[in-house]
This record gives sequence, structure tokens and C-alpha cells, in this order.
Amino acid sequence: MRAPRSALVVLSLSLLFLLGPFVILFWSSFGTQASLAFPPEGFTIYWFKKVLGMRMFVDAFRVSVLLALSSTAAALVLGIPAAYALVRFSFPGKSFLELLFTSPIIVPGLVLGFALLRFFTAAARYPVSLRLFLGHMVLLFPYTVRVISASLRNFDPTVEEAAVSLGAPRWSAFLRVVLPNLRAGVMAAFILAFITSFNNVPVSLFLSGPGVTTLPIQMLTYMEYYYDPTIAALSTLLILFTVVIIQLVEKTLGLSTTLGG
Amino acid sequence: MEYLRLARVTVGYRKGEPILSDFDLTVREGELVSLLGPSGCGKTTTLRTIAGFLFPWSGRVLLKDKDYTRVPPHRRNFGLVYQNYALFPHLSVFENVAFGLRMRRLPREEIRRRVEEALRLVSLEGLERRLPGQLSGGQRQRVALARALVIRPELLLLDEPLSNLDAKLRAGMRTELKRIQRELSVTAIYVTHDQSEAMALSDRVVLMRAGRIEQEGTPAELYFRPATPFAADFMGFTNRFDAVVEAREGGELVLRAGRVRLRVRGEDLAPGTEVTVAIRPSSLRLFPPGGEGIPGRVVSHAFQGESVQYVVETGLGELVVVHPESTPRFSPGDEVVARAAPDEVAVFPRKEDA
Amino acid sequence: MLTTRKALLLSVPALAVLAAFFLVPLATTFIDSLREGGTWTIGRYVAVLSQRSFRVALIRSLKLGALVTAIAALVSYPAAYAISKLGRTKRTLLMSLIILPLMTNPVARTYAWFVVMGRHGIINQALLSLGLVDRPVKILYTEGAIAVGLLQLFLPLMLLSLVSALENVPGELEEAARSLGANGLRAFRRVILPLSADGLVIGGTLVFTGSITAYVTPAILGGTRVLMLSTLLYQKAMTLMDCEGATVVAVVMLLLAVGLNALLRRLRPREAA
Repeated sequence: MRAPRSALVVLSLSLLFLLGPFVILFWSSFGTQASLAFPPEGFTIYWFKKVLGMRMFVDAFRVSVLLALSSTAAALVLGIPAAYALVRFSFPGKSFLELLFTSPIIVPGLVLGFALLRFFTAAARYPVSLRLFLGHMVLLFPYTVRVISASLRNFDPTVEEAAVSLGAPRWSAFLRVVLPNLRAGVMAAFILAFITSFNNVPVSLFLSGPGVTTLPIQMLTYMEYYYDPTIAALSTLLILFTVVIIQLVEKTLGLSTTLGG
Repeated sequence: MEYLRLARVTVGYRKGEPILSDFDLTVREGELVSLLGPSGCGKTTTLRTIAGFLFPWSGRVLLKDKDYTRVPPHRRNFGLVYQNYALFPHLSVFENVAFGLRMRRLPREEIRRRVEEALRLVSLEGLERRLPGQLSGGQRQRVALARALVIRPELLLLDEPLSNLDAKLRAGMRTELKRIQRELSVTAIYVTHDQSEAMALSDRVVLMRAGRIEQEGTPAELYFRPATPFAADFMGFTNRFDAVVEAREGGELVLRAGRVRLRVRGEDLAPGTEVTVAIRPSSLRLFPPGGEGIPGRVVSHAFQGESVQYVVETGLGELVVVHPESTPRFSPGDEVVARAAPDEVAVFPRKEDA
Repeated sequence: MLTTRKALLLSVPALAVLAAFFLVPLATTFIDSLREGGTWTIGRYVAVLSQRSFRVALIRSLKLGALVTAIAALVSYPAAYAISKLGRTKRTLLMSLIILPLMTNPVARTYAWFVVMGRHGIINQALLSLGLVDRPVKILYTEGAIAVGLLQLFLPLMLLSLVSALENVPGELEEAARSLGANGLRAFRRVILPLSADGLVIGGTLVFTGSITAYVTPAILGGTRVLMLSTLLYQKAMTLMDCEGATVVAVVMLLLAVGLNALLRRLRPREAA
């Protein structure tokens, strides 16, 4: 059965609404005017050159990438054993742990960021980079637990038992048999967590500090003062970056594995 | 000689709900013992306890008089074969089979030699580099078997290994499994719910019910002389009725059920004992009316290939009779008499639980 | 039992990190919002609730959240239905386009609306050149602008929930309903709607909670005048240095989000986890 024409019209309009602004942004980031206007006049790649040469953005980009990589890795290191415990064992207090491990998703990011700011100001003098790292790790942890749990549930526990019966201690069976078969799940969790950290504003907003600022926060700061198409060029680059990642995910893992975890 | 012994083992998954209580089991060296029973009877729990994935709450597991009760599964050197094969999906056939040897840190040359030998044993030469996903069900089961055998296990544990195969393949694998087990003279425990599989493979069958041994013995003993009504039912003695012992004459018992008299080969039962009688459909024969036997009327017949199955309405209830014949000799409505061979009838003193 | 100890051992690192950097900060925030000069009090809540700016922000957040959720649901049903009837390749392509706003840097995503809604943006240019107005209209920094931005962010979530819900409705069921004489709309109301209600509830909760707690969209498109709870929180904490007030706003946001999630769990005990 095919969808009625009216449903297709709504779908097309939705797509136009979702993606139209990106197209317009893309277009206007090549304009020659010094302030944003539409339709843009002329054609230049000046703004791209400019943004790539700006120290503040290059530094912030580096901070964002390092932060995303390290906090994602940490969230995986914490999340894989936790997911294993939740899926393979049954024990008193399990449902509490399950709830706790997913709750950082439920709490609004801004509230988490604010609470962490108060905590760090009150408790000890953590360096800014450590604050960001810890905040992002907490934020990403639920994603890794959820995705890894889903792929663990799809992995037959008797395969692991077979390895044990052949002489592998539990940890060795996990490393040699379970982990290699979780590769897709770990990759999916990694990408999801990386993007979440790389794009995060609410937590970074409160935890960034002098000298250590993530890219989105730097963009927000810049926008408070300037209206030229620099940000448009940068945004265009970031959107293209996202498109590439989505394509990569789709080609290697399938979207549903990554999002549906 | 006693090889494996479970002594008064109590075990379960949840506190206060034991699956096995004070369970005893003995397996002799080189024999293949089937644990047979319906689902939930505790046969898989028994196997997992032997494998070491479940630790007994009390009681002991002994192998060659060595105490295995608390030995973790990876130090037991028992080979396991699962229903779903449980092959390592990311490793080649060769690496699957080599896994246990690598865990034992054997020299490379020896690993190669023993893996090849094991694959030859299960006729899988040439498939070393395939991944499990590229094999058929039967081939996967052979890999699983080779993987369990290559470590020269002290005990081979098989958990319904054939039940995922289709009927034709199953029969072939059954024979082969038996051949390999004989050839290596490895002691094996085979869990199944399929009585014909247990009959075909085992040196000894342990029939289990609700965490207890209902009966153990050779396949022939179980097949012909079930000890309890449950065993009889599981072995296919599906016709059942109540009777009373009237007399003992020579080696035979005379039973009376309603107005029917029946001669069966005798248990030592006193006259007046109330009994349950169980007969296999294939042990009954139908004759035209007259003479001794259970009179009745044919209700229906169904052609089954090499036999015909009749349903006969009698004063003792409906009886099912299977005749080895290719065309039905009786039609619905025919008056008949059903007789059973005296030594193919099972008789049990009636108890409340049966 | 042995296994309990192992499971706890595996989750202890995560438990410790979450306790230290998640539970403790949130708990102290909550407790501090109720304490003043060493005693328990709800004085801060009374003070904040009596501020007009807070009430306006709270009502605006709820209002915009409801509006965005309603529009997302209305638009998503036909759109998700159309997607669920497409072939596999087309569907995958569409899904990857739809999630683009979700996966994009939020500042970049929101900034795109500047070009659309700004003083010299595409809408104003169009209005001017058509002669409908003679001066650029103010579109940015209004509730409408925020709603549009939120809708772009959260429409994909609703679409994803509904597509997966509709995929689970067997096509034959709808055909059966139609063959029994139900017209399209009735088949929808009697068959598809009840069977996909779960997706609607889950998607709706996600969109509503997301909308009332989002930060970047109201920060950029609402500016410093049209405040929602999140932008108010930030303003109190970082600009006005009113940390006590900010704490109260944070607790209100936290309770809203947690409460809605608990409600969802109550409604859908199995799926919500």
C-alpha cells in the first residue's frame, strides 16, 4: 500500500523545513558582504580562509576534539564493564543501577553543568580541562552503557561459556571472544558519544574557562560581538563534517544500530 | 569402574528454589550416558553443574575420586557441545578448534597437527579458513564437536546437540557421534528430551523428572521395562487403564479390568492388588471378535506410511493401536478384539500420585 | 552470592564516578536550594516564584514546549507514515537527512536561522521586495523564532519515534481494516493510531522535555529579553551573579524533567528503559 499524496506533501515540506536553513547558510557563507544578508552578492572563499586562520577557533577545535576523544574513551572504559554486569548478571540492586546509569540523559544538560560548576567551585581547585573531562564523561556514560548493553544482549552467552569450557578464564574469554564481537556496538557507542561531546553546549558552557574553551562555546562568544559570515563559514564546515560522519556510520554500521541502541 | 560421581548435590539458580535436591549420579569410564526428560526436569542443570557453570549449594562432584566441586569451569578440561553450536563468530574454523589448545599454550606445530587431526575426525578437512557464518548447520555442529574433542577432554558434555538439525541430518549425525565417541572411548553425557535419540545413542539412559532420577538403565531396560507410570508414558506406553490382580499362574499374572481378563508376564504382585496397566500402541493387535482380549469398536483409522493407526472404543476407554500394514484391515464401525503380547505390557501397583 | 560480587566489582568504577560527579553535585544543589543560614526553608522558592521574570520564563517554557510537541506530532504522523511506506533504500536516505539537525553542532544549526529570520534575512528580503512591508520586520528574538528553532531540533526525534512505531504496525492490518469498509481516516484512527500510540507518547515526552530544557536555541534566537527557564538560569548564574536564584531554577528544571520521565515510565514500564 502506498502513502497518500497529502502525506508525501507533508513529508516534503518537513524536509524543506529541516534542511532548507542549511542550504541557505551554505549559500550565504560564500557571499562577499561583511554582514549577513540574503541573497548574498558575489562569490568568495574569504570567510573560510579567515575562520581557518583564526587562532581562537583552531584552538577551540583542538580542545573539542581532545575532549571528545578522551571523555568518550573514559565513558567506554567505565561503560563496557558496567553494561556487562547489567546484561550478564542478575543481582540485588540491579534495577537501581540501571536507573542510575541512564539518568544523566534524563537530567537537563544545563542543570548538570550548573550543578558541576557549583561542585567544582566548592570542592577543590580542579583545572578547567579536568572539569570539562569529568563533566563530559558523566554526560556520555549513559550512551555507552545503552549501546553496549544492546549489542551484548544480541550476543549469545553460551559462546562465552564455550570459551570458558575450553580453558579461558572469564576475563580472557571476554577479551578474546566477547569484545571482538562487540566491535560494531563499541564503534556505534564511540561515534554517538563523540558527537554528543563535540556538540555539547550546556555542560561546557559552565565548565569552560580561560584558555580552555570548546568550539561551540567559542562560537557563541564570538556571535555576541560579530555579525560577519565567519560563523556561517564555520557552520558550513561543521555541517559538512556531520554529513560525512552520518554517511560513514550509514555505510559501516547502519543508522538503526547506532541510534536505536 | 566409577568415573564421575555426583553425590547428594543440591543446586539451583535462585535461593530457596533448588532444581536438584540431594541428587546422585554415577557415570562409568568410557560410557555414553543420556540424561533424558521433559523440559524443566533438571537435565540441563545437571549438565551445567558438571561443567562447573553452577556450583552446588551442597554435595560434591567427583571425577576419578578427585573433588571437582569448587573447581572453576576453565580448569576442568571438559568438552562442551551446545544446541546452538556456540562457535566463535569472528574466528575461522581452524581458530575455533585451536582455541582450547591456544589456552593451553601448546607449541604451534602441535596445535596445527591436533586441529587437523580433529577436523579429519569430523570430516571437515579443507574448511579450515571458513568463518562459522559460511557453514551449514551440520558443518557447524561438526566444528563444535571437533573443538570440544581436540582438548582431549576427560568428559564430553553434549546439550541437545542435534536438536537444531533437520530430521535427515540428525539421523546421520547420531551415528557419527556414536562412532566418534567409541573411537576415542571418551566418557560422554548427553542431554536430550528425545527418547528415540537417547535409545539410539546411549549405553545407559537416566530418565529424569522434576529434579529426580525416575529410572536408569540400558535403553532396552527402559524401553521394555519402564519402572513407573511416568517412565512408561515417556517411553511411549500411551494406552493406560486400571485393573486388579486376580491370580498368579506360573510366571504370569491374570488381571481383570471391568469385564475383561488379561494375561501379562508377571511382576510379583499379590492377588487383589490394584494396578495401572500401560501398553504401547504398537504392542496391541486387532482381531475379529471372539476369544480372549479387549472387545471394542473401531472409531477411526489413519494411514501413516508403513503402518495404520486405529482408534478403538472399548469398555476401558479409547485405545490407540498401530498395525504394521499398508492397507487398513478394519474400518470404522467394525467390532474387534485387541490383544497384547503378554511380555510387552507394563503393570504398576497403583499409587496416589500416578 | 559470588556473581553479585563480580557484578558489583564491574560496576564499581562507574558507580563511584557517577556518585562523585553526578549524584553529589545534584544532591547538594537540591539541598542548598532548601537551606539558608543553617536552617531548612523554602524561602528561596518563594522569592524566585514571586519574580515576574521567573513566572514569565516558566510559562513561556511550558507553552512553547506544548506548542512544539503538538506541531511535531501533527506534522510527524503523515510524514512518518509516508516514510514507513517507502522502500528500504529511500527510507535510509531520508532518515540520514532527517537526523542531520540532531547531529549537527547546535550553534551552527541555530545560526542558520539567522540567515532566514534576520533583519536582512531571506524572509524580510522577500517581504520587502513583494512590497508587503516597507521596513524589515522583527522576527528574531521572539517566541515564534524560538519555537521554529526548537521544532527543527525536535521534529526529527518525533519522526524517528513514529517511524519505528509505524514500522511495527503490520501493513496487512491496515489493508484488512480498509477491506472491512473503513475509509483512510477511520483506518488511521481505529487501527494505526492505537497501535502507534507508544511511539507518540515516547516521542512526545522526549520533545516536550527537550523543548523546555533546551539552551542553545532560546539563547541565540530569543536573546537576552525573551527568556526561557534555561536562559534565565544562565543569566542568573553568570550575569546577575544570583547563584541562589539560579539554584532554584535549576531544581525546578530538574524536577520537571525527572517528573515527566517518571510519568513516561509509569505509562510505558517496559520500553522506557
